[in-house]
Amino acid sequence: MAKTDVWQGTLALMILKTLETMGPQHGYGIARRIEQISDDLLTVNYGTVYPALLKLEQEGYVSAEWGVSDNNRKAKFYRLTRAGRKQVEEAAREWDQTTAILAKFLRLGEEGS
Amino acid sequence: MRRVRVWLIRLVGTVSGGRRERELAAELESHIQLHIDDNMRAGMSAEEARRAALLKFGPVESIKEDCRARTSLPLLEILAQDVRYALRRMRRQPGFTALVALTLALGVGANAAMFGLVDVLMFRTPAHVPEPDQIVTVAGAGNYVAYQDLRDRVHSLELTAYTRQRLSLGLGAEAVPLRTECVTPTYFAVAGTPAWRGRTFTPADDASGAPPAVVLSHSFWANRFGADPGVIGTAVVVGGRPHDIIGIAPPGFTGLGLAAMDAWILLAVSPEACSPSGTNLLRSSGGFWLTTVGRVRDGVTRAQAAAELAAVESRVEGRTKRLAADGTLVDGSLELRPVYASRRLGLSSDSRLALWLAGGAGVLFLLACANIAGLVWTHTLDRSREIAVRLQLGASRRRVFTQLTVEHMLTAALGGAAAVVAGMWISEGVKRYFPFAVDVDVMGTRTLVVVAVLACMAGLLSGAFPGFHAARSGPERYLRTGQTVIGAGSRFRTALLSVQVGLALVLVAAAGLFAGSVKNFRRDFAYDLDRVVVASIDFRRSSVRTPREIHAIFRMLEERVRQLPQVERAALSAGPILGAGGPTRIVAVRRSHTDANAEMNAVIEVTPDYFATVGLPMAAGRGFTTADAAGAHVLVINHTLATTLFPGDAPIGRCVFLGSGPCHAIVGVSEPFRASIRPDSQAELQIFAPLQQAGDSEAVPQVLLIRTVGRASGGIGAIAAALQGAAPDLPHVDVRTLEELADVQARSWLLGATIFGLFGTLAVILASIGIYGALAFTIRQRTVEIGVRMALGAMRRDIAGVVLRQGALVVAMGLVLGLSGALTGLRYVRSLLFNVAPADPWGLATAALVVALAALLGCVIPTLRAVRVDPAVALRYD
Repeated sequence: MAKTDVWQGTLALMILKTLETMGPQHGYGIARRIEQISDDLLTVNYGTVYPALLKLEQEGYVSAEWGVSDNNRKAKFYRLTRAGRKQVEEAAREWDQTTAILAKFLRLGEEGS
Repeated sequence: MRRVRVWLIRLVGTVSGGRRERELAAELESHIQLHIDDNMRAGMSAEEARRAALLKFGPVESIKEDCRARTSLPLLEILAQDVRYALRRMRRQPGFTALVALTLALGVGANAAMFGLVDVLMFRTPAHVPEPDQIVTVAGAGNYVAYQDLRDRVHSLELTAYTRQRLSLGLGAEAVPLRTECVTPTYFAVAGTPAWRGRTFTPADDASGAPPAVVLSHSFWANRFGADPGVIGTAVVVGGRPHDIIGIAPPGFTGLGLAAMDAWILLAVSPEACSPSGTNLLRSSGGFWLTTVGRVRDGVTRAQAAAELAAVESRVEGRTKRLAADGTLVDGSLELRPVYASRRLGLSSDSRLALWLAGGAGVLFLLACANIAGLVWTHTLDRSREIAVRLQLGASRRRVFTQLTVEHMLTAALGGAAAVVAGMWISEGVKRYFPFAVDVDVMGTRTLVVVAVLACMAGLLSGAFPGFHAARSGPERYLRTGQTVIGAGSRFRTALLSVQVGLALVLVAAAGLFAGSVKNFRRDFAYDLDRVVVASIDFRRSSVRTPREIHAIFRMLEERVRQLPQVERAALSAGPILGAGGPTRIVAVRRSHTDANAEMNAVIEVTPDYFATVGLPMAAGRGFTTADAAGAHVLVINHTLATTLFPGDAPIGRCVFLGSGPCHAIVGVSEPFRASIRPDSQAELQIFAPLQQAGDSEAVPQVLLIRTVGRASGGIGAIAAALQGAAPDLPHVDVRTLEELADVQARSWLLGATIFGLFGTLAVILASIGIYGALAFTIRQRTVEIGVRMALGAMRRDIAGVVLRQGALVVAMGLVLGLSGALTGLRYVRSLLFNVAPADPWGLATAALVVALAALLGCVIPTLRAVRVDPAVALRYD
C-alpha cells in the first residue's frame, strides 16, 4: 500500500483504536498489535508508527510518558487522551460511512456490467 | 484550533531541537531492544535477533528525518540557516558590509530626521489632546469681548481663548524666561487634558479676588523644581506677581499648539501681563490678540455648530474688522476652521522649507540606494562563481535568491539601526533652526516605523535585481569561461553612476544657492556681528513701569557691565536691533516746515558710544559726543536716507525737521544697513538722535549694547550673570550675541546651506565611492586584457586613457543630467532665497566643477592600479 494520505489517516485510526482497546502501550507494542490484528496481511515497517504517533501527540489525541515494560525495559508509553477517545468515535463513524458509500458504489459497478 | 496548537508546538520544537532529538533516539533504541528481546525469546541468536529487528523497523534515518520534519518548521529552519550563513559572510567581508550599512545609515537617517520634522510641523497632533478633530478655531474672534460674547451665545461649542507671551518667573538673579500661555479656565477642558499632578483651572480661579494660579508644564517643573511634588501649593512670581502653583500638566503636553510651553495662567486674572502691549485689553472690542478655540460638544456635529455660529454672527461684538468695498472698516464674519487639518493646507514657510529639505533627503535616499545597488551588483558578480557552483550542486534558484535576499535584508537591518543613530544626530542639528520643534521628540514611533520601512525597501530594491540576475543566469556560463559576463550589467552600472553624479550635482547646487543667500545677507550688515552682545528687558510685564525708572535701571546696568574685564564699551539704544527690543518710533521727516513730501522714518535715540559699539562706520561727518547733550539738536542719518533727502548734495550741516520739532542739524552720515530682513526689501532709511537730548518719556531705552574685548560668544556668560544679578527686582534679562540675532533672521538660509551642504557632501562622497568601486571592479575583470595589451606594446598612457575615458563618460553624463535637473528643479526654491538667482551660471558652474573633480578623484586609484599591471603576472593569472 502506498504511503498516501489515506494510509496516514488509516494508520492514525488504527493506532488510536489499539490504544483504546489495549490501554497504554509503547510504540513497539502498537506496531506489533496492528500487524497481528491484520493477520499479517499488513506488513509494514514498524518504524512508520513513530511519525504517526508524534503527529497524534501534537494534535493532543495521545499523551506520552516514559515507563518500564513487562520485561523491565525502559520504554515510552502512549495513552489515549479524552480528545483522543472522542476522535476514535468520530473517525470510526466517518470511516464506516466512507466504506459504506464506497461499497455501494462498487456494487453498483457490478450490477451494471 | 488543533492546527494552531500543532504549529505552536512545532515552533517551540524548532527552538529546542536538541532535547527532542535525543529523546527520539532513546525511544527508537528502546523499540529495537524490545523487539530483540521478543525475537530472542522466540529462539533466535542475539545476532539474528538484532538483524531481524532492524530489518522489520525499516530505514532508521529516514524515519528520524520524518519525525524531525514534524517536530519543527522546516521553512524557519532554512531561514535560520540562511541567517547564520549570511552572518558568516558579513563577518568575512566587514569592509563591504560596513560600506553598505553606512551608506544606508546616511541615506535613511537623513530621511528619518526630515520625516520627523515634517511630521511635527504638518501632520502630528499635539500630545494628550484626545479627538483633535473635534477642536475648531473660530476665525474672526480675536479679542476678549468677542470671546465672551460667543461663549454666552453659542452652546454647541465649549469655548476657550488663549494668547502666548514670554514672561519671567522669579526676580533678580533668580529670574528665568517663562513661555506662558494665558488662557480662560475652560482651556484644559477644551483640550481634554486632565492635570498630571494637582489640578487645572476651575471657574472659581477666574473670579475677581481669587488668588492668581499657575499650571506648570512637566518639563519646566522637572528642570526648575527638580520634579518636587512639594512645590504644588507654593507661590512663585510670574510676570511680576505671585501665583500659586496649582498643578502640573502631563509630560509632553504642549497645549493646543505644538510649540513647547512652560506655564499656563489665567487671562482675566493677569490682563496686563497677558496683553501684547502691557495694558489691560479685556474690555477692548478692537484688536486681534487672542485665539478663540472650541471643542464641539458631544452629540453635536461640526456642521450644526457652524450653523449655530452663523445664526448669532451678526450679534457678536468685537469681531475682527475688514475693509469694505467703499473703503470703510466693517465687522468681518466668523468662521469655523479645524485647528489641525488647516496646517496641511496653509503651508508656513517653515513647512515649505522642511518639505524642501525632505525632498533633498529623498534625493539622498535614491542616491544611497543607487550606490548600494551598484556595490551589491559588483559584489554579486564577484561571487558569481560561488553561486554557479551552488546551482550546479543542486541548490534551487529560489533557494539561492532567498539566501542572497536574506543577506541583503540583514545588512539593511544593520544599516537601519545605524540610521536611527544618524537620524537622531541629524535631527538634533536641524531642530536648532526650527524653534517650533526644539522640545519635540522628532524620533518618535512614527519615525522609527519610517526607518524600518525605508531600510527594508532599500534592502529589497538594491538587492533584488542583482540577486535575481545571479540566480537566473545559467551556471554553465561562469564555469565554462571562468569569467563573469559584464555586458548588460556594466551598462546598468554606468546608468546608475551617472544618475548618482547628477543627483549629487543637484544637491550641491542647492547648497550653493542657500550659502549664497547667507553670504548676501551678512554682507548687507555694516555691524560687527561677532563682537556685540545685546541685552534687552521687557518691562511691560513687570512692576517697573515709569520711563524714569527704566532709564535709571538701564544706566545702572550700563555702568555695571563697563566694569567687566570682558567689555570694551557699551551703549544704550531706544530702538530695536535685529528683532531685540521693542517697537520702532516712526516720524515724518521734512527738509523744511513747508516741505510737502515728508518721508516716514524710523528714529532711534542712542548714546554716543553706539556707533563704536556696534561697529557702524561713518561715511561722512562724526557720531555723537557727550557734549551734544547740552548743545543744539543734532542727527546722524544713514547713507540711504542722505541720498534720498539730498540727492547729489553734501548733507552735513543741513537742517531736517522731525514731526513738528525744531531744526536738527545733520552732523554725520552712517553706512547703510538693514534693520529687519525681508527678502527683496530695500535697505531701510534710518535716523539716529542723541538719547540725552530726548526727554525721559519721549525715548525709553530698549536695549543695552555691549562690545566685547574678544569674540562676543566668549564673554556672554559673564555679562549675562552680571546683568541678571545687578538688581533684586529685575525681570529676566534676555542676553544674546548680535550674531545669534542675525542668525535667527537668516536661519532659513543657514539651515538650507547647512543641510544641503551636508547632503551634497555626502552625495559627492557616495558618487565617488560608486565610481571607484565600479572602475576597480572593471579593472579586476580586465586584468588579462590589459596584460595582453601591454605585452603587445600599449603604453601606460594608453591604458590610463582607456580607464579614465570610462570614468569621464560617467561623469559627463552625470553632469548633463544634474545640470538639467538643477535648472528645472531649483526654480521652485526662489521664494526661499535671498538675492540669489536659482539659475546663476557661475554658481552652477562652480557646483559642476566641484562634483566633477570629486568624481574624477574616484577614478585615480583604479587608474593607478591599471597602469601598474604587470603583463607577465597578468597573463599567467587565472
